[in-house]
Amino acid sequence: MPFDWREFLIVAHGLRNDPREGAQRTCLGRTYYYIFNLCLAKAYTIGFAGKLPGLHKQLWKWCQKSPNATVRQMGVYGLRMYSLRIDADYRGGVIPSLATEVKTQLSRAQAFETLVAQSNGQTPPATLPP
Amino acid sequence: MNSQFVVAAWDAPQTRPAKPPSLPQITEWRQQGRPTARIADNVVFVHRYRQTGAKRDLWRQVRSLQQYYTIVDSDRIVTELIGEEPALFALLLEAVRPLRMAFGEKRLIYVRVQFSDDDTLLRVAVQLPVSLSNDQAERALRSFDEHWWLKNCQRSGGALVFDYEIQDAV
Repeated sequence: MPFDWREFLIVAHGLRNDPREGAQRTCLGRTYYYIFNLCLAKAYTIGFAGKLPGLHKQLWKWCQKSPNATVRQMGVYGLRMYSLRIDADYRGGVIPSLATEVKTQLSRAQAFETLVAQSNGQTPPATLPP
Repeated sequence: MNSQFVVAAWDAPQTRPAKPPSLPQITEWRQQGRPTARIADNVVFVHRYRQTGAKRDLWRQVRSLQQYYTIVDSDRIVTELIGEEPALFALLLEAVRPLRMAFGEKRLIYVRVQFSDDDTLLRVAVQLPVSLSNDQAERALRSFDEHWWLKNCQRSGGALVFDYEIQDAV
């Protein structure tokens, strides 16, 4: 059975109140990878043909150029979440307001999955508690 | 006459660099202003020309962005990225007004370059006070998206991110 990428979101959500910086950074990264894989699967069904390496930027750039407004919106949201993930995984210095960024990332992921579900004509997954 | 060579200080052997210093990359020359001189019947126009190099233009672009944005990284890094994605300069200038409309007139806006193994992004983050709730900030960002960014994002080459950051000391 294929891996359900939403497990990343569940794991990140479970770690959201863990005060350790490593846990907070992990939240940012895992949450991003959930929506990245969700969008990648969707994009391949509607004409995206990107390949490694550099798949992240290729995907968001492709979405942002789409004539479809919802896909373009995914491109904007996705790149924004990618930006937070880059800080989490590559920025050695202090990330100010890390806890706030975790909250933001989680809520954006849920807005993102709602967009994808709606564009697929599906009911969005249940909202996670704040 | 008894002549004797004396090695003057300016004549002393010098250590030369292994290669000449790099010069700015010259892309074109542009005529500047009107002709400034004419000689007798043979009309000779003296034009002043201005050297415009790619690097020089990019530096000028970054300088003009500094009127509106606080560039957190070194100018060189931002200049390089704008050199790679020329559309970013125009987008950043055009974004000033919609950013102010969405977030308020007097917000500091930081610009910095983000690097990962694969990609380089230019992150533009409006600095917001902690008194603003997350929901208010997200609403402002969505308003910015709807009014301007979603109509223009396709020009950015996937290299530009607009966001906000909530700072304690703003």
